[in-house]
Amino acid sequence: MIEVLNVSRSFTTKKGIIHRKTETMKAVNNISFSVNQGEIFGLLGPNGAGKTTTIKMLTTLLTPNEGKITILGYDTVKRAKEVQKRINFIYGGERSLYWRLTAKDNLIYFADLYNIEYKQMQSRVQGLLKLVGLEKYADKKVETFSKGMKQRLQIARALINDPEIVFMDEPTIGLDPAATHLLHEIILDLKTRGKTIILTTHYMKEAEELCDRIAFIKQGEIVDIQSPSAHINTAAKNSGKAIKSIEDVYMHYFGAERGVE
Amino acid sequence: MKPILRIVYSSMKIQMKQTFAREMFRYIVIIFPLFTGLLMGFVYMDKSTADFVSYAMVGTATMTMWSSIAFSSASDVQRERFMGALAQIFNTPEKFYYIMLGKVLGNTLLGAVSMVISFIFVGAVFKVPINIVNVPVFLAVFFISVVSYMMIAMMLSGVLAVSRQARTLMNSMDYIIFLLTGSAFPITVLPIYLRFFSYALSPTYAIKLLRLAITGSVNTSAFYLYFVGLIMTTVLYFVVSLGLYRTIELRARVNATLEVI
Ligand SMILES: Nc1ncnc2c1ncn2[C@@H]1O[C@H](COP(=O)(O)OP(=O)(O)O)[C@@H](O)[C@H]1O
Ligand SMILES: [Mg+2]
Repeated sequence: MIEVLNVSRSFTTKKGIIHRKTETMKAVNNISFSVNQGEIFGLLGPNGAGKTTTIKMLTTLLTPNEGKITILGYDTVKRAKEVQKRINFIYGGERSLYWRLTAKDNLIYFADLYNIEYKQMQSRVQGLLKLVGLEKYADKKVETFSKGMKQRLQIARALINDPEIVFMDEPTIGLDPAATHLLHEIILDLKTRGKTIILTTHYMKEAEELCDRIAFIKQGEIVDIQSPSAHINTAAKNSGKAIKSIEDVYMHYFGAERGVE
Repeated sequence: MKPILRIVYSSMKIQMKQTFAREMFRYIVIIFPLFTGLLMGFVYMDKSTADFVSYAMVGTATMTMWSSIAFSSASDVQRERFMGALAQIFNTPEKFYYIMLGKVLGNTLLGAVSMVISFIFVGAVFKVPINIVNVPVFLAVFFISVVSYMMIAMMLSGVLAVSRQARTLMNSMDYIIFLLTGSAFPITVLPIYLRFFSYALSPTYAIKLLRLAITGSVNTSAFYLYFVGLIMTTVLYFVVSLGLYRTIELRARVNATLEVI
């Protein structure tokens, strides 16, 4: 499904107004992993660890500086269009929608962009609006929506092309518990339909409950990839402390970074 | 519908819907052209009818069309970037070029509406008999000029999609075009070195051709010369815009230029 091989990505930024200095920082440093079909795969790590950069490379929005990514057998750089047809993605927050248009217009536009067959289009748009509980608001403008409603519409938008793989970068950020619960149900339903999900989140419980495997990522490098229970066992063995949850594992890896010590 | 046509068409529709939903819409599409028309009308009130039609009416029409095609298209790119939709539409399987072409086409149709309004308004206020000697040639030249402006808009939107600094350039663009292309006065009053730029801009030829069509002098060598000029600049813009978008498809992914931050 997804093969990531020795991938690195750095960013160059310009600093200073008069004495322009260019600074290069490595956001992702030589990571490798693979994800199987039907898996829910989590990427966890502190802010700035490189999670979003990784997702952007996987979704063809960014090219790696080094290494190779293959998705459904297609190279993300050389065969980007083929990859784009078969995947979709959500970046947490309220953006990436047309606020001046209605919910339905937004979905229809993306259905057009993905060239969804006309015969299927209306029923798919209706079905997705129903799935995310927005069917009553189909003809309301997005600017009148609450944050949670916008995020739900994002989810519907991300499913418009019936993608094989859905990437979600902090999809539950700022969502109320009901909307979070709905998203979790949708994710699990996608899994039962054989879809693959890549997820980043700062909510450890969410990761523990949903993910089949979790990759911890620290300063652009992968620390460890295992199932949640295996992570807990390993961390308990290595630290000699009582580790019972993914949150404990996270603290084991990143606790020192809070700047307390 | 062919996928490409579908994308152009739906992007155009979305573009127009969004413009209608904007407060500024009335000003850009109706009020601004009327004021420009009035202003130019007063300036050329005492001149010959031919001069009045050429500068006050055709000049205003050109400016109106230009503002709504090029200026709107450019600010749209900026707006989409802030909304986060730019990355989203960029990452759909069809070429970004067609999406932008649809948007530019939407602005063009709106521009045509406001142009017709201003043309009729100025004619009525100043009670000028609109006397176009060669109507078919006038319409043909008009059509080609609109295509030409669309190609300029494609070049500008392309530059804006990858450059964050290009906005300032855009804001002064209106005046540059106004001055250099002879919309308001003949370019012969410009210094020689500026006239060089004038001849690289297709509106210069378009305005001259429209005037010749109005006076009926279409079988002159001047007409053929300007016609070749119009076609050549337009083809050049088309080729440049295609190349630009090809570069964008590659560069945006390498340099991470599609986002706000
Ligand atoms: N477009 C960019 N330009 C410059 N630096 C960037 C850009 N995108 C991300 N970075 C930097 O790369 C690092 C990793 O960022 P990111 O992948 O967003 O981390 P995460 O999603 O794990 O919080 C951060 O230090 C961030 O500042
Ligand atoms: Mg992030």
